[in-house]
Formats: sequence, C-alpha cells, structure tokens
Amino acid sequence: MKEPALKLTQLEIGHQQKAGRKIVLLPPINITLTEASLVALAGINGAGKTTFLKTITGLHQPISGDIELFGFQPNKLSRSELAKMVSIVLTDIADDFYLRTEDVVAMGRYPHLGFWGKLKTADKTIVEDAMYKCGIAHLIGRRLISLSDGERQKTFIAKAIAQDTPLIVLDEPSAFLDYPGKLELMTLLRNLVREQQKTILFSSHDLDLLMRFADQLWLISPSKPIISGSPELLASSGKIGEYFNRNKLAFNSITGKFQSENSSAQSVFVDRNVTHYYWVVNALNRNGFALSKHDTVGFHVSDQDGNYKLTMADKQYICADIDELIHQILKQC
Amino acid sequence: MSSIFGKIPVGAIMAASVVMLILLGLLNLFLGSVIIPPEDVWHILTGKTQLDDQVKQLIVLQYRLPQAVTAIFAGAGLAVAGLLMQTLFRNPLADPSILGISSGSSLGVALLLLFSGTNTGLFLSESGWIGQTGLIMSALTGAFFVLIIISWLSRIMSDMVSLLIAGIMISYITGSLVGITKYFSQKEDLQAFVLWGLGSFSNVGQARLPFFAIAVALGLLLSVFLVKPLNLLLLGERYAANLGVNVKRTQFFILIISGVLTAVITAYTGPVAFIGLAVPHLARNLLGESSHRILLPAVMILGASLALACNLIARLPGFEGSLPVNAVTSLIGAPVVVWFLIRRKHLYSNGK
Amino acid sequence: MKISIVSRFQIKKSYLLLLAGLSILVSCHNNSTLQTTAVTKQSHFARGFTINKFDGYRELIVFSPWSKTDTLAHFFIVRHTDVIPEHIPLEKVLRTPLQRIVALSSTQWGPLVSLGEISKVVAVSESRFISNPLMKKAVAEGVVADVAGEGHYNIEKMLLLNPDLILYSPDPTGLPSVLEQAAIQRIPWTDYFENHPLGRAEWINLLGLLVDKEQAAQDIFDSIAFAYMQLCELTAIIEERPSVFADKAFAGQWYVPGGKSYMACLFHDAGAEYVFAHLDSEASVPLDIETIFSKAGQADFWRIAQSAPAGYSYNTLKAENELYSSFSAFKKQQIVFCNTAETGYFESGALEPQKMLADLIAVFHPELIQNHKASYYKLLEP
Repeated sequence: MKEPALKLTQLEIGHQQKAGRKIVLLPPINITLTEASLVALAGINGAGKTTFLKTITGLHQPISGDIELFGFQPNKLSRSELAKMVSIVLTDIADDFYLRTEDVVAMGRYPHLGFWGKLKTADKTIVEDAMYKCGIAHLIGRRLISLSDGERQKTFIAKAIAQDTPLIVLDEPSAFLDYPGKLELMTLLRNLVREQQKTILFSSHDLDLLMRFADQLWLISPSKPIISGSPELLASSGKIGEYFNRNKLAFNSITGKFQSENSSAQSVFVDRNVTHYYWVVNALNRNGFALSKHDTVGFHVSDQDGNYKLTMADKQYICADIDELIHQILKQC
Repeated sequence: MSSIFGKIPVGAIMAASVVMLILLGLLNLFLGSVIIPPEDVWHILTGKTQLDDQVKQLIVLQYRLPQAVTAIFAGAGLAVAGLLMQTLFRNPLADPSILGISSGSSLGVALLLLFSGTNTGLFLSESGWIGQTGLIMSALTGAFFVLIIISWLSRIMSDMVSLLIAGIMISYITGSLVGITKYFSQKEDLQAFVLWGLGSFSNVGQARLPFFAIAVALGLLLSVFLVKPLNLLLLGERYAANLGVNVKRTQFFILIISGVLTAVITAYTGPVAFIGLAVPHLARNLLGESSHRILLPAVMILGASLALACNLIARLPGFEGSLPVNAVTSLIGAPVVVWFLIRRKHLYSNGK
Repeated sequence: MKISIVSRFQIKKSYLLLLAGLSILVSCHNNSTLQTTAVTKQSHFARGFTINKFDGYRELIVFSPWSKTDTLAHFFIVRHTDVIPEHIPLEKVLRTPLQRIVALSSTQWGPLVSLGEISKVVAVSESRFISNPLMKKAVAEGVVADVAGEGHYNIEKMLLLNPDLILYSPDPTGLPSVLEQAAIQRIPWTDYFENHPLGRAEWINLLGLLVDKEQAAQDIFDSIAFAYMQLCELTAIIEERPSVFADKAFAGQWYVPGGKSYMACLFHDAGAEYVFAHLDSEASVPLDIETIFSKAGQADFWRIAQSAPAGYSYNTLKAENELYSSFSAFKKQQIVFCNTAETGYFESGALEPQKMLADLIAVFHPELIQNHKASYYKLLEP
C-alpha cells in the first residue's frame, strides 16, 4: 500500500506568540492527499490558506499535530531530502536585476547538484524541458525584471517543475495570469498529474477554475473542520455554499455559481433543451431573475424551432436571440 | 553567456580584469612620489641589486610592495564583504559598514586616543609604539564588540530587515560615542584620529603583512563555500529554504564572514569607504550576472584593482605629499557607479 | 664662556650694536628693524606684536598672523599712577599693573613665573599637565583655578574669578564666541607663530609691560638674546654642517617643519644643515614617506620631540614603524631626543631658546661646548 503524498493528523496551524500564547487559525486538521491527484485548497480570504501551505512544506512551524510526507516526517528529513520531495510556487517577488529566466529555473536543480551548483548536461535538459512545458522557452536570455507578471509566474512554476519533486505546492498560482493563461496553467498542472504522476496541491480564489479542473477540493473555514471531496459532490451537497456563504451571496448548486440572494426576484423557468441553455440562464441571472425548478411560475422559456418562446399567463412571444428574449421579459415586468 | 556589453563573453571580461590587476600591481611598484627608474625597480624586484641602491631598495621592497599587497587584500576583502551584505539584506545600498562594524573600530580607536591622552598623559600622536599596534588592537576590539552584539541580535530578531535597522542604529550610537570622545580629546589626537579615519594602505608594513594577508585570505576562502546558498538567497528566504538552504544558519555565517573581513581590514587600514558598496555593482553591471559563482571571484579581482588604482592616485600625484585613500576611492568610484546605473535601465525594456 | 652678572650689565650697551650687526649676519629669516632711539622700542625678533613707547603710556599692537593688514588687538597701557592722556580712547586703555590674569597657555604664565609675578595669575588651563612646581602648588592650593581644557572654556568659572585680563590663543575664524560673552579685556597670544626662537622668547616683554615690570622683562630677554647670539657666533664660521631632519609619520603622512620654521631656524643656528630647508614654508609640510626617505634617509641626525613618561628607546621607535630603523641616523644612533614630559618643553622651552640651542650645538658639534648639561635635547641612549 503506497503512502499517501500527504497525511495530516490533528494538525493545528497558526502562530506561536511569546509567553505561550498561540493563535490557531483552523480547527485541527485531519486529511489525506492521495498521490497523483490535483487538489485545490479553497476558503475565504484570511482563512489561512497560505499559512496552511507554508506549514505543510516546512516553511512554518505547526502548533501541534503530525505531518507526514510520503510516509516521512519532515523534521526528520535533511533539508536536502526535503527539497527533493516538495517544491513550492509562491507569490513572492524576486527583484534582482540580473537574474535571467533560465537562471531561476536552473536554481530548481540545486538540491540535485553538487557543492558548486554546476549544472550537468542532463540538468540543462531538464531545465529546458521545464521551460518548454510552461511555454516560456522563448524567454531564454531575458532578465526576470523585464518579464510580465504572468511570464514571471510561469518562470517560477518551471523552476518547481525542474526541481522534479513528487509533490508540488502552489499558492495562488493563477493570480497574475490572464484568462487564457489561467487555463493554460490548469491544463499544465493536470498534465503533470496525469502524465508524470505528480501530486499537486494549490490554493486559489478562482472557484470557477477549481470546479473545472481540480480532482479534489479541500475546503477550509475558521469555524468548520476541513473537508475534501470532488467539486461536483461538494457543490451539489451544498457544502461549498456552507463554507463560502456570505451575507447577500449564496451558492446556487444548480448553476454552480454564487449569486446575490434576492428572495423577491421574479422566477423564470427555462426548458433544458433550449438553445444555449447555459447562456440564457446567465443572462437571466445577470438581470436579476431567479431560476426556478418548477414549471408553475410566471415566466416560461421554451424552445421553438431554434428560437425562444416566452410564455406568460396569457401571452406568448417568439424571440430570435437571447437579447430579444431578455428585452421582452423586462418589458413585461 | 554574454555580458552587459552584449557580445563580449564573461570569460573575456574576467581575463581582462586579471590582466588589469597585474598591471596595476606593477604600476604601484614602479611609480611613487619618488622617481625611481624602471630598470632599477626591476632589478630590485628580481633580486639583482647593487649595494649603493639601499634607499631605492628600501622604498620599493619595504614601502611600495607591502602597500600594494595590502591594497590587494583589502580591496578584495571589502568587495566580498560588501557583496555578502548586499545579498544578505537584498539591498543594493548595503555595504560592509552598514551594521556598524567599522563604526565600532572607530570607537575603539577614539577611546584609545581619549584614554591615552587624558589618563596617562600619553598623547597618541606623540606616543610611540602604542601608536601602531595599539591602534590595530583597539580597532579590532571595537569592531568585534559590535560584531558580537550583531550576532546575538541576529539570533533573536525575526527577520533581516529588523537586523538591518538594528545595525544602522548601532552605527548611530557608536558614531555619537565617537563624537563625544572627540569632544574631550586633545587637538593633536583629534588630528591623529582624523588622519586614521582617512584610510591608508601604508600602515601595515612588512612585519604585520603576513597575519593580515592570511586573515583576509581565510575570510575570502570561507565566502567561496557559500556560493550555492548565496545564489538561492537571491530568490528570497522562502524559496531558498524550499530548495534546501538552512536559511538562519547561512545568514549567520554570511554575517560572521563579512563582519570579520570588515573588522580585520578596518583595523589595519582604517575605514576605507566605498569599495564595499561600489565593486559588487560594478561587477554585476560589467558581467551582467548575479550568480555568485562568477561574482565572488569577479569582485575580488575588481576590488583589488580598484584599491590599487586608488592607492596609485593617492600617492603618485607628482607632488611630494599624498592624498588620503578615502577621498580618492569616493571621488573615482562614485561617478563610475552612477554611469553604470544609468546604463542598466535598458535591462527593463529589452531585457537582454 | 662665563660672564659674571655684573660685567654683563656693564657691557650691555656696547654689545647692543654688536647684537644688531650679528643678528643680521648670523641669524636666520628675521625681518626686524632695529631702532636705537629711546622714544620708541620695536621688537628685534618678534613679529607678532609691537610696543611703542610714549611719554607716560605705551601702545601695544598685536598683529594677525593670517593677514598682513589686520591687527588682532590694539591697546594703550597706562599705569594706575599715571593720568590717561585725553586723545586716547578709553575703551582701549589697560591700567597696569594688572592683578588678575587668566593665562590659558603655559607660555603665557611661564614668563610671569620667571618675573616673580605668579601671584598675578588667577587661572590657567589643563592644570593636570603642568610640571612647573610653583604653579602646581598654586593650583593644588586653589590659589589658581583651572578654567579650560580640550578646547572648551568654562566661562562661568572664569567670570566668577573677576579677572581683569584674559590671554587666549586665537584662531583664523575669529574670537570664540564664549570669550566674547565674557566682555573682559582680552589679548590674543600668537607667540607660536614666531619663526625665530628669540622672537618667541621676546613675548616676555609683553607680559612685563602688563605687570609693570618692563625693565626686568627686558633684562631677562636681553640676557637670553645675548647668550643665544653668542652661541650663534660659535657656529657661524663652521664649514662642516651635519645634516638633520625631524619628526615622524602618522597614518602615512609625515609633517616636516618648513624651511622657514622655528625648528629650521634652530637647526641652522646650531650649525646643522636642515634637509628640507628648501621648503618655503613657516608651517609644517606633509610629505609622503617615500620622499622623506629618499631625501633624509642618509641624514646624520634625527630630531624627535615627544611625551614619553615611560621612557623612550630605539626599540620603541622601531616598533612604531619598521622603516624607521633603515634611516641612517637610526643606524648610527644619532637621534636627538627631547622628552617633553620630563623636560617641560612646552612650558619653559619658548623662554629658553638659548638652552635649546646649546643642547643642539652640544650634539651637532660637541667640540664647541664642553661639559654641557642638557636641558631639553640630548642624544637618545642606545
């Protein structure tokens, strides 16, 4: 039986103050990270995602509890061994003037190198490979400070890849990326898991992205114990709503999105087979309408030969596109 | 790998620097306030001397040669100390004196002047053997005193920025203590203190040179062992830790090595300004590199060269006196660094 | 040469002319003019001040050493028992004899002690360095106060003493503001700018005027000058002059006395050849060690003056800087040394140039003076 990549037992994370006082951020954590999976850590701001990641990678001391990395205890490993086990990508900024992208990525190889840090040919190949995978091979020779935020982020991700560790931990990796970049990143991470059996744990605010790409979600909250599950399970069971709900915002398990709660919103029922169902729902939500599960409401939208038929108590309208449909509904209110 | 000049490879620049170092070293032997014909200098150096050339032989072997060697070690040592400080604090304005160590040696000297003057009636400026050895010992004591305080602080402070600020505060405290001792000193001793503070490579002398050179060489050698962790620290403490560096221990070693280098050099030459700050920037600019595997040897060579050049200018003038070393290092070095800083703004745009 | 006190007075006038002639011939770098009229008296050697004698009063002018045109002080000295002439501005009058003098430097009170007027001194500075036994006793007994040290003036203490005159050392930037506040009569003392040894000694005349002992002061000075001139005579005809240089390096700089300085004058009068006589300066000149070594490396003698309460030796000198042991003067053990701590050089030296000259001649030309007992300089014992 293979050891899980990460096993946390009664782990308390937080900050140890002087005079024995301690600030514990989360309830004791008991959770396991299976190998070769892409797991996302999600929670509201300030919940402690970054501290969590720093603690499990050995950058921060836990208050109490056990951490096991691939069956080993981190404080029993030498720093060099630990460096070959887990790599990190943070939102730190390196502001040195002269470092080049390949210099940074090459530093990922340092735990594997000898005393002087000289790269062998095999190492250089790994470095180039990592840069290629991240789509920054064309940036070889460029200085770090001349890169855009997204390019810089990718450089550090390439470094983590070059470090060649079974576990990669990333803190808000999609923060600086534009939308295609975010997708590229997620695809890259997923490929690393599928093709190279890497275990990847990352934190993110970007719920949409997590739901689409992560194998598992870990939800944390200061008042509830950590739970894990597939995105779909957690969404449909309402757990996401529980862990994320705020005033005036509620998680809609049908659409998989957070919406402002508005009990007085007009309900609309939309047939599942209408054209571009997803976008019709989107437009309705945006205009303040609530989606109803039941047929017996004021507004009913159904398909009519590829067009939209809007049925109200006594009237019917045919609309050619979504804009017209919305326009019509608004007119009736 | 190309350097900031674009096409010229790093290796070529390093080779050129070594050549320049040798050249400057020779110039320091051949030139001085007294004119000695080159052939004579050459004969003296190669050991074929005539007996009636005693004076010239003395000047070359006992005055110019120790000075040149002192300059080489002092320049290399200060440059390395400066580089270590800049990497440790990730601050381009850091230099060897930033933690107050050379202030500490100033304080040691000032206290010696004060006590030798008022307590015993022995005025340092007139007093004799206490003059040289005493100066060195008191400077070393003061510097190590500060170094010990800084080491202790580094243990209890949470981060490097706090330590930096603490070090600057220590500088201020020692500086004001120096001011107070100056206030109560005799005129002659004040002048002596000022002269010491102007820096000089000629105080070491042949007899003290071996100890000085070995101490500095030791520091340089130890710094070389830190190449890998120094590079990793460039990425920040967290990345460095993740890549296997024992950050606290490494920071401590960097502190100690830089501190000892600074303390020893300042004790023997007085506080020499600017080399520790400027040479790392010069090296980075010239080579376009941040990797310490290249920077460490580079700053050693460039630091030694700069010190030799300044020593040459300070003594050469063509008039019979000499200029203080500190004035020359600052006057020459500062504009060069500014020029390089202006040049490097193109790194932001095309980044090549 | 021994001359009894009585005969010295008798031959004084006839030697005056001889002095004048010799002074121009033999002595060095002095631009004095000699007037033999009884009405006015000008300094023979001192350039820093002048005393003009008038009927019933004296005019004292102290010149600025930094500017040919400025004067630092201008006073009219009138005895208490005399009437102040009408044309004299009252604020510039000093009534003598003064009774309560603050003398901040030892060359200011030293001559007063020699004149037997130590009682006129009420305050000095840096009393812990004083070696004169009379003054030490006075300070210890509280008769004389210590009001300054290390460049600071204790102005309140000074005022409490209610002095009628303050003697002080001026600097080019002007009067220290603290003294201005004192609003007491002040006379700046610039004797250390005199480059002729007799010029420095002649300042005793200024003090004599202030305590109404003009004649006594003049007599003392005349005897000093006479002795000095006689010694100059001894060396005037010497053809073989040994070479000499002075002082030491500090932090790479070596300040040598200028060619027109006090030390250079002494060297010349002592029958030596000063290696740096060509330097056209009255002050000290900083030179690089190399230069000094090449010019003075083979010099015969080396003059060093410093405070060495614990004693001094060739080993001590060598320990300061190895290069020193390579000087010819060192190797031949011909270092002319003055231990300023033991000899009271700073206190009495200015007033005893003839003794210093005699010491130097005894070293440079021992055949000229026999059985000489050194007061200041002697060869350093190996």
